[in-house]
Amino acid sequence: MSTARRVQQWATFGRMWYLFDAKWQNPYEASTKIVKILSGRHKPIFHNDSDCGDHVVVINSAHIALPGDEWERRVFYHNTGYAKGASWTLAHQVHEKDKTMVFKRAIYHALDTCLRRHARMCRLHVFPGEEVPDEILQNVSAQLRQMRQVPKRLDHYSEEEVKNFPKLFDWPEQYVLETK
Amino acid sequence: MVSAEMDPRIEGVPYYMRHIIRNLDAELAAFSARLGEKFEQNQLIAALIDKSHLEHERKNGTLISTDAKSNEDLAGHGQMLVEKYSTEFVEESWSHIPEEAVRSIVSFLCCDESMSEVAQSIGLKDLVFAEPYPPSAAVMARAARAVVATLSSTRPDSVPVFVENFVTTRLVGQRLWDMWQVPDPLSVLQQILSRSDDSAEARLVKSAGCKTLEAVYQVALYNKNKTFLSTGFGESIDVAVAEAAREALDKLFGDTSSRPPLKFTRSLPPSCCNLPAHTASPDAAHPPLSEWSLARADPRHGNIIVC
Repeated sequence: MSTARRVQQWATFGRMWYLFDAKWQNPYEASTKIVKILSGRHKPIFHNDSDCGDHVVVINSAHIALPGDEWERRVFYHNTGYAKGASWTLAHQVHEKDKTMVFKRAIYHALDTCLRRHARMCRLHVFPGEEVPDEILQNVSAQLRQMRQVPKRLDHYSEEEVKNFPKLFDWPEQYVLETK
Repeated sequence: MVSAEMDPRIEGVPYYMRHIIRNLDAELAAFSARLGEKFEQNQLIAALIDKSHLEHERKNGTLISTDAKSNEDLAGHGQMLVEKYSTEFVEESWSHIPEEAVRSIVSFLCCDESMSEVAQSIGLKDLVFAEPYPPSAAVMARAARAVVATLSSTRPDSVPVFVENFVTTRLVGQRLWDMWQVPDPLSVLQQILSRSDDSAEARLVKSAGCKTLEAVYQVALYNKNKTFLSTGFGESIDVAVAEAAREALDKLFGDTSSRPPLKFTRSLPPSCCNLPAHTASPDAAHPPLSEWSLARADPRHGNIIVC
């Protein structure tokens, strides 16, 4: 292959490694984005049989946020295949046992149900905290934007920020509030 | 298969070709017609007889005439003509490249493999008198060159047209680095820039999968004023730097992927071609690399030229 075409080929078919911070994110919402990256649908060279998907390294999967009462309502089904092997486990119970499982299952069920699904899942690397092995972290080339805004805790605001915030109303100093 | 008794004209044709060439007259006339020329039969045969055929005949004791000449002298003359017109074409097409590049491109065009491809394309494979069959690249190249020499004696004006139509067309789709081997393009670039008090610095732009087999690195080159020169991709940083240097040199020499196509105008009738006739190139228009400076760079890529 000529030099110029070799460079173009290598650049076009290079596999990217994306980082995604799952803190305060809904895995089912994030799955729409992550599944697209894992399949390779974000590339103009995409074809289903081409194996052109990229890697996604997910951190802080222990700090995901499910909406409403989903932690108590969402159920994960598993069947061992043997007698009385069916089990239904609640999301918070699964999360207690394995902090990465809720996220992985969300992605698994969002991926297209085909034989390529397992290869795509192999390219998903989920970590419960911020610690990622060096070999994987050195591969990372870009970051995926979070879909949910991470809220700031009230006690994390500095005194200056609180003082300078435009205040519309406050009770006078001598005012006595009725309390029961 | 026709024998010599049945058709005396077949006598000159080697036995292994007699089932293909039933009628040498017709074959040679067809060859002339294919090229749109009028060759004389004995001229053509003189160009087609290879020395390997004569040696084979001598060993077998079937040599008809002892002063039979091979096409070696004609091939030498033809090679000189092909090189001359190829060099003209290359110097016209790439007006900003150094002398080493011109020589490399011309040797790519005039080498045995290339001339043998030319010979195949005009149908000389079954016409050349050589032993063994199929003829080697060297034999085919000699035959092609000898045909060019024959052309020059019949109709000299058609030789540059022939070279343009058959030899230089092999340049279509080729890039400079396919024909000119430069092992360290970054040092070449640094040398050129240093003549204008400049230097190139490589910076890593992107990398992905560094610890995997499919690592991709993108490196960009910047000059002393932090102006962007070029970028390159590779499976390692060294490869990416070399590719970026090659792209920078492409811009200087005027051989980017967006350069205008090569002009094959000699075969057009004069009314079609509005370009001026080819004039002899001015002194040292293609200086060697050791003297090549940014003043000779392609002006279309102005950002690389330091004022």
